[in-house]
Formats: sequence, C-alpha cells, structure tokens
Amino acid sequence: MTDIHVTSGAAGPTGSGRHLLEVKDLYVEFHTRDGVARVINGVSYHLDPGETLAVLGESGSGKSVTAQAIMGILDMPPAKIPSGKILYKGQDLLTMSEEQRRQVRGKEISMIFQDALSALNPVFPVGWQISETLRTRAGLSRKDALKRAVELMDLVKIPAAKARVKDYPHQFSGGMRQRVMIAMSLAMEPKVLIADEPTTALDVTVQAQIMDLLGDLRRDMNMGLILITHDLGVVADVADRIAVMYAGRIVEHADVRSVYKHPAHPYTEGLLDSIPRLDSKGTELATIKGLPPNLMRPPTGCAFHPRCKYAKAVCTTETPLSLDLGHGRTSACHFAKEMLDGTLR
Amino acid sequence: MTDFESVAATELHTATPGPAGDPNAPGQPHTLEVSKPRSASADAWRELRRRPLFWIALVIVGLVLLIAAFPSLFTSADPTTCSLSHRMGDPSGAAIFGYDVQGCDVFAKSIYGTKNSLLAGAGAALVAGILGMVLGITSGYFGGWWDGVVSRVIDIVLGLPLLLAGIVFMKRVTNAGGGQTAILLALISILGLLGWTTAARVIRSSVITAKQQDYVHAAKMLGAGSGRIMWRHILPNSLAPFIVIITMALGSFIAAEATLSFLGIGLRPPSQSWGIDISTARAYMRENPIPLIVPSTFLALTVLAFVILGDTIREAFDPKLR
Amino acid sequence: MFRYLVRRFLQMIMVFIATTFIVYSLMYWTGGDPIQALAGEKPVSDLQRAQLVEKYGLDQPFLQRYWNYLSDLLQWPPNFGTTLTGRSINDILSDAWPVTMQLATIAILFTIIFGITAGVIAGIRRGSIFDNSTLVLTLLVIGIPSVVLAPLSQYLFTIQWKIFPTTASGVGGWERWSDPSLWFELLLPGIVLGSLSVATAMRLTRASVSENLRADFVRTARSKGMPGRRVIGIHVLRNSLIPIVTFLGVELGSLMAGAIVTEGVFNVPGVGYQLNRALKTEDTPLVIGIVSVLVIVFLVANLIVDLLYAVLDPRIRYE
Repeated sequence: MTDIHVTSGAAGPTGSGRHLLEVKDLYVEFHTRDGVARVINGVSYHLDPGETLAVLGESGSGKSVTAQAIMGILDMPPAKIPSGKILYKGQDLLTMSEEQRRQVRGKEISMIFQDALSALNPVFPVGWQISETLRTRAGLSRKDALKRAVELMDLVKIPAAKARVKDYPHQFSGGMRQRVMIAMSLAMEPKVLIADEPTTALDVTVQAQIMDLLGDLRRDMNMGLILITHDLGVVADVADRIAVMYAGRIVEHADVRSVYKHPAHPYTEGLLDSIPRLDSKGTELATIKGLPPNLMRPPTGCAFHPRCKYAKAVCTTETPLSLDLGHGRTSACHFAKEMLDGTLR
Repeated sequence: MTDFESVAATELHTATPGPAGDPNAPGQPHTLEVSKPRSASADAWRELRRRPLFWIALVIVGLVLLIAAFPSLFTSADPTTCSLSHRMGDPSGAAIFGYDVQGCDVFAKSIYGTKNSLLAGAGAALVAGILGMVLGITSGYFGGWWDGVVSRVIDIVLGLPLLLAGIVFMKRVTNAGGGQTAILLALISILGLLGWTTAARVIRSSVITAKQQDYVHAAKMLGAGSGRIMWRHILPNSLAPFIVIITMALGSFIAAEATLSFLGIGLRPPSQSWGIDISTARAYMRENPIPLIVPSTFLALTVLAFVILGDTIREAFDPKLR
Repeated sequence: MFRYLVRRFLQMIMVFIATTFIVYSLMYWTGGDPIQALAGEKPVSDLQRAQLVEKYGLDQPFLQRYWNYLSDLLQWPPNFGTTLTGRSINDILSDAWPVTMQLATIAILFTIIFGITAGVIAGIRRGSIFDNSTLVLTLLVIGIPSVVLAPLSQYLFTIQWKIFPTTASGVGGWERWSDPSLWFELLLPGIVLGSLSVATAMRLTRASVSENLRADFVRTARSKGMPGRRVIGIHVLRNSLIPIVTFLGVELGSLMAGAIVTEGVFNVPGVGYQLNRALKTEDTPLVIGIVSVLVIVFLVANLIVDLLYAVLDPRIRYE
C-alpha cells in the first residue's frame, strides 16, 4: 500500500503508473457443447484506491465475467482464460496458485452480488455469515466475531443490528439483505470492492440509499470500487470513471463528466439517450434497436455495427482499435473524433 | 416398491426449476443461446438416441413383450406337463435349465410366466395412468374444493404403504375365492388403485405451472374451452414426466405382482408366475439353485428394463441433468 | 411454524382414521368364517360358536366394532387385542418390534454410510467415472425387486460362500440389542433391506449436492475466500441435508413395511415375519393389529420428518 501511485483521472490501458488493480488485455472463452463463445476480447482497465470505476453494459456484454475473472470464481471449465493479466499491487493473479488466490479473495478483493437473497446462504443466520471469514481466517473467537458482525451491521446502517444478528436472510427486506451482503464483504477490510449490479433487484428509493452507502464506505475506507451496472443513471453521482462494454470489449472509457457531456461512441450515446429525463417528458424514450450479438458468431468488423445508426461500410469489415482521445479517454469507434466534433451523421 | 416411485418423484421434484438461476452465472451468459431454437422433444430424442442403456432397455422390453405374446416361439415344452420322474433333472437339450422339484421345465415355466407379469404390470399401469392423469389434470386445472378433495385422497393413499395395502386387499380377494382371471383382475385394479398418486401429483404440479404460462392465458382469452385447453395446451407439456412415471411404475407393478404371488396372496398355481416359482424354488435351493435363479433373472431383467427406460427418458427430458 | 405443525398434525389424524377404517372394513369383510378358521378342521358346536361370537364381539354392528377397535388403539398403552389363538397381540409385538427396529437400524446405517457418501462424491464429480458407474449401480439395485435380491443373496452369501448364517435365531425382545452375534446374524438381511434405500439416498444426495453446488451462495462463499472443503462441507452439505434427512425419516417408516419379504426369507422374528405368519394362518385380528401398528409408525415417522424439516430449514421455521 505504501507505494501506490495515484494518478489523477485515467491513465488509459497503456498508462505506466502502478495501479491497485489492473486488468490487462484479458480474454475469456466459454467452451460449450454448441461451440466456443468469446465473451471477453481484450479487456483492459485499472483501479486506484478510493476511486470508483463504473463498468457499464447490457447483460452479456462481459462485465460480470470480467469481475468473476478478477475474483477467480469463474467455473473453469467451461470458462477458459487464454491470455491476459490481472495485476493486483503489481502481482499477476492469474499466475498465482489457487491457495494464493484464495488468500486474496475476500481479504484483498471482495465482491457483492445482485440478488442478495440467493447469494446469502438460507440456512445460516446473517451474523454467522458476516463473521464467517473473521472466525476462519482472522482467527477471532466466536464471541468476538459476532460482536464485530454487529459493528459491521451498524456500519452499513442496519437498524437494531444487535437484535437482528441471529436472524436469517429471508427475514430481511431486499434493501437490508443487500446491506448484510455489503457488511459481509467488508468484514476483512478489503482494498477493492466489486459490486455486481448491487441495486438491480431493489426499489428505486432503496437503490439510491445503497448507492450512497457504497459511496460513503469507499471514501471512509479508501477502497477502490468497481461498480458493475447496466444503468447509466445509477452511476452518475458515484462514479469517477466509466468503462462501457459491448460484446466483450471496452468500447469507451473516460471520466464520468466527459461521457455525459460528449459520448465518444455511438453505443454510449444510445445508452445516454435511453435514460428517462424530467425535461423530455412526453417525448418517446429512445432505445437502442436490435439485440446484443451472439458471441458464438459475432458480427464481422465492429460488433456494434448492426445496431449502429451511423454505421458505414468500413464498420462491417474492420474491427476498430481503441483510439486514444487524450486525458485518458479512449473509444473503439472508427469515427470517435467525428463524434466528439459533432460532425458524424 | 413405493421406493421406485419415490425415486422418480423426488428427482422430478428436485429437477423442476427451484430458485431462479442467476443470469450472470458463469457458464451461461445470455448471448450463448443458440439463435435457432430446437424443440425440447427433438432435443431429448437426440440425447436419448446416443444412450446405449436406453437401447439395451428397449431391446429387453421388446423381447419380453414378444415372449408374453408368443411364448411357444421360445419353448416347445409345456409348463404344466410335469413329471416327477424328472424331479430336479439336470439341464439337457430338452430343457435347457433342467427341471424343478415337481419335474416341470424351469425355462418353460418362466417363459409362460412372462404373460401374467406383463398383464398385471401393464394393466395396473393403465389403471394408475388413467386415474393419475384425470385426477391430476382436473385438480390442477380447476383447483378449489376439488383440488382439496383429490389432495386429501392422495395423502390417504400415500399413508398406506403400497405393499401393506396390497396384502390387505389381496387377502380379501383370495379369501373370497374366484378364478385365476378374477385374481389377475383384482391384482390389476388394486395395484392401479394404490399406485396412481405419484402420477397425479406430478401431473397436477405441471398443470399448475402450465396454467400460468402466457400461451394458456392467450388461449383462454381467445375463448378456448376448459376441455380444449387441457387437451391441446396443457396435456402435451405434462406428457414427458407422465411417461417417465408410468414407465417406472410399470416396473414396480411387475415387482409388486411377483411379491404378492411370492407371499402367497397373489396368483396361485396352476397360474404361471415368477413370484410363485421363486417362492417354491427357495425351499429347495440348497439342493438345486437353478429353479430359483432362472425366474429371478427374468423378473429382475424385466423390472430393470422398465426402470432404466424411464430413467433414461427422464434424463433426456431434463436438460439440467445433462 | 405453529400453524404448519398444527396443519400437519390434523392431516395425520385424518389419514390415520381413513387408513384404519379402510384396513378394518376390508378385514371385516374378508369372507370366510373366523370361528371356523379358529377351530381349524374340528367341527364347532353351536354353543362354542355362541361363546366365541360373544367373546370377540362378532355380533355387534360394524361401526360399533370399528369404534371399539379405534378406541382400543387410542388409549395408552394401546390395546391391539388378542389373536385368534388367544395370545395377546401386544405381547407378540413387544417381542417382534425390537427385532424389526434392529434390522431397520442396520439398514439405515448402511444407507447413511454408503448412500450418502457416494452421493456426495458423485454430486461433486458429476460426469466422472465414479459418478457414472455408481449411477448405473443404483439403477441395478433399484431395478431388482427384493423378492429376487433376498433369496439370491441368501443363496450366494449363506449357502454358496457361507459368510453369514442362513437364517436368524428366534430370539426376540430388547435383549437382542446387547448381543453382538445377534447383530451379526441380521447384517445380511439388513443390507438387503437397506439396498433399495441406499440407491435412492445416493441419487437424492447426488441431485441435491450438485444442485446446491450451482447455487449463488456457493459462489458467495467462494468469493469470501473459503477453502473448497469448507464450501462443500459446510455450505453445500448443510443445505443438502434438508431433503436427505426428510428422505431418511420417511424411509425408516417404509423400511418397516418393506421388511415383510426380507424377514420372511431370512426367518427374522420381527413384525414382518409375524405378518407373514398371520396371513398364512388367516389370523385376522393379528393382521389388523400389525397393519395398524405399521401404519401408525409410518405416520409418526412422517410427522417427525415434518418437525425435522422445520428444524433444518429456517425458512419454514419462521413461516
């Protein structure tokens, strides 16, 4: 932790600084009965302490798979990682032994999941589950661990924590369950927290509370937070940077302000247009036409071209490279510059 | 033999989708779905065709059916002409498995016993199938008080262990006297009356699931009557688990017939039954085990074939088990 | 939880009344003449007949007799009446029950040790050679009825290879439990009786373990950095236990009934053996008595399972 080099803004995939967590040119394939699906095709991103990176994309874009690859909880087989690096404090997680990786999991990097009801074990009390790592890995006594569990439940603002520590997951409301999940992931005070669609299953008001909580915790504990979501609206207030994923690639990567101001990829633009706004009341909500591609047989050229309203001939043949637009900003569109200029038609 | 049914039942129950799988779970990303949808039954058949066990079971079932229909094709001996001069006679060209304690041809007895076993099994499966189908569909579809009544009856019948109830019922029938056909018919109806519950439960739950499907709602809105909805839309979807249950039940009914005959309260001589043969041969097995082994093998292979048939079909229809 | 138990209990009482009624009415109309059956081949004088009718209450209307039988059953200790030969059925049962319990204990232990262990291994290594071969093996066991398995194993293991005694000794009662040699003589019948449960338990465990292995909470436990053996040994197994314990409880009830053939073949002087004998001697009161007991045991086993289910699954406990 001593020599972490904090860069301001983003340093792009080719940046030279040593980051807390860095994914480098990662590839992931799924080998199934029906063939091979390339779900991650050269993804790179990084994370520094105390910052929030939002990874955005539709389901199937590979955002969750990347996170699971970082955690090392992909089922292999069917998953396979043919190439790439995942550096944590400069060490490649992918070359570590399973035992070394297990030590990283939960203690250095931890993760919370979308559906807290099924992600929590139904037959153990929440306090037991929150304190499990403390008992088995930090060597705390049963009593101390449970005391710490109550503190953690207080930390994530679960009311009457002491009284509820012996309750079971199904006795909590959806929002409270997600707080339990968060408390559990914080037990070992990890440096990186990956939140995989933490609010998708929740009511809108509860969503905002959970988002705020995550933002506060990240600041107070100086954690790096990777926020995986398909909802651009959710991340605006919390995220520092945004990586937009499509068909297993990062199509745009920039700080959150720039993305909202001037998207540099047609897909990002489409996502922005599909957020409901108060000032556009009465007009029809724009959507991105078409479906995400079949990764068993991806389209030629740019994977987004069948759905892109700007698609040109070159898009159907050439796969666009990630274009550096300065200030750590990248876009994988042949016409990224034109998009920023507003000259693309 | 209630256990056969419980196997099928428990596995079918655990196989029905439980808590919804996480869409982001590794190994099943959304986009992996093949664009060209294949029908479930075509998929199942493709899977089934590759299983050697399925073919072996099918061949045995076919062979057993043939034996039951044309026993004289397989042996020229008459199982009822026995002569004590052949008592415990060794295997020979005339009788390939030799003779039993009464001098009857062991092989011929087993060959001729096939018909009764299959009649009892198939008849009971038919009764159980019709009962289970009708009660399962109507209780699942109409719900309400009728569902309550059927469910309570199922509870009661399940509360009676099949073998015990069979013993009590059959005791009643055999005491009353009556010919061999009457006993066989009694066996069929009793096993059928006691064995329909699993089928009814499975059908009922799949009807309840199917009822909530959009296409059934759509058919209702288009004005299709209850009968038509049940027949055209719900029945086909409940068919796979039903076939599995009935196939396995057939095996267990055959075993039940043999068990009751073995205990002396099912078929009785001069009827041919594997159960009777096993029971008689047991007393003399120190002297000559062959009369015990031959009908045992016939019985075991037949029951096994039906159980394997049902099991392979179930696996093929359940993608989660692949 | 309370409502759940009350509901289950009421259901059990209803099933009990219905089943005993069915059993009783069937035996009531068994045809044949119980008095003649009692006397055997000897002619019965009118006086004797009248005395016996009086003694057994054979002249009362059917419902009255059913009511007498039911109220005898429901008192404590239950009174199962006397056999046609005048022996107390309670005595016969108190001799036979410990034997059947001993047999069932062996069968259940066998099931737990082999079925569940194999099921867990197969569930973890789905598709492996071990998984596939045990699956085929369980199919074989399920497919072979006990009328085949019992006599054949008796022939092979006691006559051909002489590993076990061919038949059990006639000792009954609880004294059996303290004598190792009497445990040994029930080993083979116990294994034969338990083999069906082993197969079912193995398949159930396998299905349950492999289903729970795919559950989200397993992924959570892994991402908490729990070692694999803890993920399986604690998180998966604790959840898989719910259907397994349920199965074992119900199975204990049906094993007692299933013991009829096994006990008959191996001459084990338990309840099934007595039932066999009662059927052969046409002893209607004894048949009714034993069947009633078996039905009660079956129902109580089911009730205990419901209780266990609630203990094991907090989702039901706090319903």
